[in-house]
Amino acid sequence: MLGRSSSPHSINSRDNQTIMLQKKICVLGPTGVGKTSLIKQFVEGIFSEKYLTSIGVKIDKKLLINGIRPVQLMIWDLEGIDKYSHFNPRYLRGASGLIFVADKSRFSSVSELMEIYSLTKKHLDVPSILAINKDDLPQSIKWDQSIVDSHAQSFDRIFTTSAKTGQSVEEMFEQIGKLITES
Amino acid sequence: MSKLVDNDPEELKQQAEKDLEKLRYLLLHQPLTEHQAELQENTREMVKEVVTEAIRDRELTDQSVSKVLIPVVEESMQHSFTRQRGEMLNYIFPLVGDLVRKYVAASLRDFIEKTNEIIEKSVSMESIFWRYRAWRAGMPYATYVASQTYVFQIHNVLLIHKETGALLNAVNLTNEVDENSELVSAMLTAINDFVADSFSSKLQHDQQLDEIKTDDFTLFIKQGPSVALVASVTGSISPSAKAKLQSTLEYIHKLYIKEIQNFDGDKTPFAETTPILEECLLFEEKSTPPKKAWFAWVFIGILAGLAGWYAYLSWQTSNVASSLRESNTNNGIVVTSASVRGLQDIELTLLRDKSAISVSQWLESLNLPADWIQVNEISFISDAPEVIDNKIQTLIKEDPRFNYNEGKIEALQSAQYSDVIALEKSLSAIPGIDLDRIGMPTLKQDRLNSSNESTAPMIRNMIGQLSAQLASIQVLFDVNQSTMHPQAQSKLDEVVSTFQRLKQLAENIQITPTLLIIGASDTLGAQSRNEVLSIERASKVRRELLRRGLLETEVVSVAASQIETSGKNSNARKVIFAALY
Repeated sequence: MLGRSSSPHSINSRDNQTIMLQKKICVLGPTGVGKTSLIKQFVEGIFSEKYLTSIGVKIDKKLLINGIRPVQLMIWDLEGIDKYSHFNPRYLRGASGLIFVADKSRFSSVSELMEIYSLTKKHLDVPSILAINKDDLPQSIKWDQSIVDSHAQSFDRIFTTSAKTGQSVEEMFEQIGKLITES
Repeated sequence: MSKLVDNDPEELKQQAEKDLEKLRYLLLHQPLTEHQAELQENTREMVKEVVTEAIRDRELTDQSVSKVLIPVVEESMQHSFTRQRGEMLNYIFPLVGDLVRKYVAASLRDFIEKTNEIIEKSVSMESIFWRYRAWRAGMPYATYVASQTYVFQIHNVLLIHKETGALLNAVNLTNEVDENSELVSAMLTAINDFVADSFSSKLQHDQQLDEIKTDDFTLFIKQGPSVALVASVTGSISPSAKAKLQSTLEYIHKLYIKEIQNFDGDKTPFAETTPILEECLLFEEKSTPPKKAWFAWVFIGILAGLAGWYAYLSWQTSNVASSLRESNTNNGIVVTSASVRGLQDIELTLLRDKSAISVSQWLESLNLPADWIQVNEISFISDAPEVIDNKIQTLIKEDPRFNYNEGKIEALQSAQYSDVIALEKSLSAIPGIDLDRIGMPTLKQDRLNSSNESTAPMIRNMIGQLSAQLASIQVLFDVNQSTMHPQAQSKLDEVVSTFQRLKQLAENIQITPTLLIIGASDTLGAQSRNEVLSIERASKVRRELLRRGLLETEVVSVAASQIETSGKNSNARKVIFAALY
């Protein structure tokens, strides 16, 4: 006998009149620049980091309420991209914003990041932020700020962050929230 | 087109020319707009002809007509109930009675079924076995029951935006909002992307997830161009349910295509998909032979039995209490109160003479259950004949010289006159005793004569006492009256009984006593009148005594005439008595 269950419950009922946007953002960068640590500073997720090495992505969410309207950020933490790790452009689909992360203690990460940036921009043109992470560590002796500055125009904002101390992490995510809702 | 009549090539050519000219005219000249106007004029007529059939056909095809009409009808009804409340009430009023009756019947049926289900699931052997199996399988009992009860059941349905992985809407069976469903939705999209990325290059077309199985449930993913419908299912989903998921996905695609294409993170428009998604929460029960709800009936039977038993005991207890209250039988036990404290629990307060029968014997004689009754006993002295009888029996039982039978005392051979006197004295101490009714035993002359010498003075003494008792009795009269007061009757009775006992005693010592009745008057009025009055008063009393059984020979009346005392308050208007022996 085929039946239909009574008294089901919907998560999206008409009564809930709070109009909240849900936006997808992707966090990209070379391996070991601290992407996952940056996100961990900002959210508490339910998925294990094993997903990063298995399917190459881990997803967390965070509700931002300080902007014009509340935004539920679905943060896609993409596996570090390098010569061993494949870049999956499918994960970028539908993203409203991008956060590119470089390592201040490893200057080569900037050039690697710009390669990733170029690859990404072939598929997607959305607001993006550059995060120079690991500000708590000594700056790489090879660090050339002029090169970094020359890339600055490619991004909507640049933040110098530290996943360890939490420096500018929240501001960065708040900023991407504003960028994607106002754009 | 014109109809071709025959196959003449020339004619055919001419006809073709004409048709071509007509077509040219239609395509290139203004009159086409005229046709449009004509068409519009006729639209109403044309639609009228086919509208009913068209609606029916479309409804049969994809049920889209009812889905579109439901919100319209709901809104119209809401409007009617708000604006035309009175009229709507008039329409539905005749239905209310039937509705209520049907609702009550349905509720009762539902109650019995649910009760049966609860009892079955709680106490039946099957449930115990299922609990054991669930424990062994390491799964919650409810999940195991569902797996045994349903062929399949759809617990959740998620509507996912494929590009962003956003959860557009979701429905489930429980009333809990799953906070993680949005993350699950995004992760499912990521996994789908991963699968597509991993396998599509080796194959010709994009690979997409269709089904994900776990130990407990299966996720069925119906992929559309822009949205995916995901159903979490326990058991084996039926083809018809799969088809329902597919048709729902297509329907949502068709109905919400603009909202899906323009999705910018605002999920509000998709709230309207809730009823459509709810239709997908399907289940199929395992076919089991129809059961009779005998568990429920047994349960209800037991309840009814207990209620009946309670009512019966309550009624019985109340009856016993009533019997106790109505059981005053003048036997030395007087019930003052009997109150019911609970089932088979009565508090009884009673007065009891110590010579009366015991309470337990009394209850037994009434056929009342003693173990139900808590007795509070208060002592009192009863003048009930039965109690007095008991007391006489007790007294005589201790004295072997007398016998008590059928209310009469008999003196045995060994009894002396002094024993009779002593017994009489003892019996007189019993409250409420009427010695005249009982009658003291009389000793025969020879036994009396053989009594020892101390008997005669004792009798004389007793006679003296009775004589003094007689002298103390007075019958009073009003001034210048010879009519006795009503209260005089009891005094005359006392005179008779005292004299009879005196006479009885006197017989024992061979004396014949005489009762002297002395009438007197005060000094008011003439002396001659007072003399007459005193004679009349004495004569009246004499007549009354004779009427009460005294013999004429033993009653003598005399007139004392007037006695010198003072005025109206004088107590000289009386008759007094004296025993002569």
